[in-house]
Amino acid sequence: MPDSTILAPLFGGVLIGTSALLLLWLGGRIAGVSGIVGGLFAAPPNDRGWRLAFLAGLGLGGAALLAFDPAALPTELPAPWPVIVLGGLLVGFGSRGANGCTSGHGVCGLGRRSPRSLVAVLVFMTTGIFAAQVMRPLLMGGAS
Amino acid sequence: VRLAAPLLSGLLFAVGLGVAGMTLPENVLAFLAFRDPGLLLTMGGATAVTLLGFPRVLRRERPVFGLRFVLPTRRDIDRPLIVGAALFGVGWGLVGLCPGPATRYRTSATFFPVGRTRRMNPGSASQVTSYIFARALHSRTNAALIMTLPPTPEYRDKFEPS
Repeated sequence: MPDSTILAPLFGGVLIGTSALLLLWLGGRIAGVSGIVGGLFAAPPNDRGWRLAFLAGLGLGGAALLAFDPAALPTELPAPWPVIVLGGLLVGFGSRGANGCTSGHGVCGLGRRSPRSLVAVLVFMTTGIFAAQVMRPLLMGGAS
Repeated sequence: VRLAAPLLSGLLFAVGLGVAGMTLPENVLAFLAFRDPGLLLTMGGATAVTLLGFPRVLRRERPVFGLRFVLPTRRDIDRPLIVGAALFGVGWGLVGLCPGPATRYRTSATFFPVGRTRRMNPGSASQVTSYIFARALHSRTNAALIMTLPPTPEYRDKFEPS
């Protein structure tokens, strides 16, 4: 492999894009993880099967990673738990408010050339950069 | 057969995240701190596939195993979109986890307690909890509609990711 620091992220991205394409082509659905999980709680019962199947696939993929490449899974998260809980709440409420997250707006929305998704991606990239570079050092005393 | 498609898609999604290194919050944070272009390459690779593939797929009348494509239809840019995306970005940048990796991380941790992750991840627990809250807020006004009617465009806009 020429340079895995470039090829691995790129190839992984192509796999993710293929996964989204496959779901739209075969199932007619958008592969947005926050929407799929969220729909489990709000969608009508006959709309739950494919969501559970997708999440089971995610779990299987996680299990495959654990078996073949355990270093790809985090052992611990790079933040103390109050920050993790705060981040989790922000991510949860934020992605529901925006009707999508990195996969729904990013991968699928940009692929559909949705103006809403483009705006969402630009906004969450900007605030994400701000949080990582300004808020994290403030909250955690410099370690980023 | 109908459920094999989302299963396979989810599997591929998780493996793609793993291959890309985006299951590791460190890599996400390194990108947001301008130290590593990896996430840009991942998003670029994924978006290239969807940009090229989605229009071709949507030329079909219907999906292979479904009656119709379920797509978001809204194109307006409103306050919830901006505020939600902004909040999402802050949470994402604080911990380096977005819903995909967090879900997968949690499922592997739940299904495989002997694996590398010993304890339940409080981040994804709070993400899932906040989904329930956020859903409850959304659906209180729509509960009657959901119970009685097939999905309307408004329903789709509210409950499908865009």
